[in-house]
Amino acid sequence: MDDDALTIDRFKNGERRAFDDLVIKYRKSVLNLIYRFTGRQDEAEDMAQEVFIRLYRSLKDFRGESSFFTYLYRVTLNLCFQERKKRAKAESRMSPEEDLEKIPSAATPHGEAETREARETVIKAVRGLPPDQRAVVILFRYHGLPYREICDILKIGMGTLKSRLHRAHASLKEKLRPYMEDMEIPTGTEVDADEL
Amino acid sequence: MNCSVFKTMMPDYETESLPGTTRLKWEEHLKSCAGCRLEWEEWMKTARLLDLHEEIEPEADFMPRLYVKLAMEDRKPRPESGVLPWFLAFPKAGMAIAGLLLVLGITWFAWSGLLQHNTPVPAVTQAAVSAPAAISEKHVADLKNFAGAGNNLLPEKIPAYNAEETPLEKVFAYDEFGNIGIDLVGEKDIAQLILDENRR
Ligand SMILES: [Zn+2]
Repeated sequence: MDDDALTIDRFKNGERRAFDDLVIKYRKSVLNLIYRFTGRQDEAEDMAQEVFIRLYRSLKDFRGESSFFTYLYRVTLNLCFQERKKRAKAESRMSPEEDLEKIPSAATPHGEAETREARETVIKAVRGLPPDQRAVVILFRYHGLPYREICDILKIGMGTLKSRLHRAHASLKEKLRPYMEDMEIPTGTEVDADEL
Repeated sequence: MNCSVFKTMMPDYETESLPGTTRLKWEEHLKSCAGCRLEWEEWMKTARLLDLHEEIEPEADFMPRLYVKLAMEDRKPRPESGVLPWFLAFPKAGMAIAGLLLVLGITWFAWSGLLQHNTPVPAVTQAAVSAPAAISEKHVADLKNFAGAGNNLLPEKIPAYNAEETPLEKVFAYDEFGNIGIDLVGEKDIAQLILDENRR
């Protein structure tokens, strides 16, 4: 039995503090999953709270068929998908200027206008992906989850996962291309530039 | 290795999850194929640009705000044991009782409003009300909901406020009239207080 399963048992046995422990452990992951999905910092906080309220209601019935982590991410993404549908109409009425205002200002000292612009473009590009591709790219890229766990969370097969990841990357690449010109050749490849 | 296999393995190479021999073949292809070198370079540049979508931190009041909502959740009647099944079985009687409760509720609300305005506001409350802008509209909205759910946040039930222990930004609770601040000795205690009140 893993740590989370033990914590859930404590909660089921009436120990309220156990729930707090889960929230404290996962609030940041949940918040950022939502933030990357919606691109909206102001809404992410309230939505993360809603996830934990849903969890609070449903945890007693959690049977442990999947890991808690998988279950929690699934609850979070379900909320994201639902909210997206609800907001679809509102967003279509929103002007591009208003849309941009929703992007939070940089939290770190990347003061330069160019970086800020690139950052806004990235946030919009991620938000602009179809939701199924968006979920895959966020779980892979920002949460660093292995394929197997992403498949479990989204209930998809490996082939579907890989093709979504590639399509997502391809469309992100096109949107981000203007910022690539001045970038250095990425590190992390074993190949020495001199050998090429 | 051909180009399309190479491309499907880019994320695996990136996460270092290719087995040894496959990895060597992948790297050989990278050296020999200019098209795939460009693909890989753009893959990694995309990855690096995506890093600009930075992580955010939960707000400092994440826990207290959640506690208030959970306390409200605790107060909701359970569907299986609540009034709903009864209401569905006897809809006319239910409507009559609901109407009566509504009238009583409005009367009580108006009366308690008058009472509140005649009650001297304790020092802790004044401190909270004049707190800096760090107390957000969210706090106020949450507490209005909370108070609206029938909670009675009486100042005498609130432990003494110690500004040194708890900075004013942590004081977050108001009653529905906006003039009672509760709070206290740390976010945990705020919530516990509310929960204890609810269970009484
Ligand atoms: Zn090739």
